[in-house]
Amino acid sequence: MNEFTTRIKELRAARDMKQGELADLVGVRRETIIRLEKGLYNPSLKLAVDIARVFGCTVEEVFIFPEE
Amino acid sequence: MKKTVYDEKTNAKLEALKKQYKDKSLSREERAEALKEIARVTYAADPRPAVSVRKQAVTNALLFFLDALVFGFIAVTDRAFRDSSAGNTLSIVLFSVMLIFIVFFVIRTGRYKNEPDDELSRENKRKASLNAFLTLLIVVAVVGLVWFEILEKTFTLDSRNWLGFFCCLVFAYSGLSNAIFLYIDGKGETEEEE
Repeated sequence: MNEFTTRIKELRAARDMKQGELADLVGVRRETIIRLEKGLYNPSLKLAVDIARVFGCTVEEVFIFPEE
Repeated sequence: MKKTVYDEKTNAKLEALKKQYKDKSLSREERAEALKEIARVTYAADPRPAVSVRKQAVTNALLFFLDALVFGFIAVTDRAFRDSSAGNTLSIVLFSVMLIFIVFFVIRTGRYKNEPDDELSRENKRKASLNAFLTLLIVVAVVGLVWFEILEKTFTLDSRNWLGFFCCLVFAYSGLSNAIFLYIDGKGETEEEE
């Protein structure tokens, strides 16, 4: 499991966006979005930035790292 | 050959990406990104029904395993059937079956567009490739151990069957690579319902 959680599912639901639609927007497969939402995959910096841009957020607002 | 025609917006985007790809002042990574984006844009604009990366892996695995079986059978039974009409007939039949499958496969794939790889599938394919190589090494070692030491059989590699044996290994590796990719790619998750 990853050391961070993501708000992708929450942000997607707020915009009434399907996983497939988000996948098409950022140029990945739907399976990749599923894995990201479940925290099973570390995205590249480019993918993280692309997802954040789709939601109009910063990367830190999409990918939450626990406070040390 | 009929040239594929897209709408103006797609054509403009493709032209810009091709320009970026050919621009030698950019880094290799930027040019590689442009190439990946060209594949994505072309895929999105293609009106044919899509075949997902996973489905491609399923058909590839089946085809490669079939090829490995055929070549392996020919390599192993070459001496038994050497210079016999029955053996030659059997080899021709097996090759014909394999060729029919390949032709059918090529015709079918021409009707569909293939989903391009993304970063996760590329990473999973790299892992699968390494695991397939190690698995094949272990399988060959175990089969060799059983064949030569336990069953005390012999196997002679000569000018006639070495190619069949080599092709069998190559296709077995490719089939394993696709099969292990399917396992890694689908590990720990089910299809998400939206």
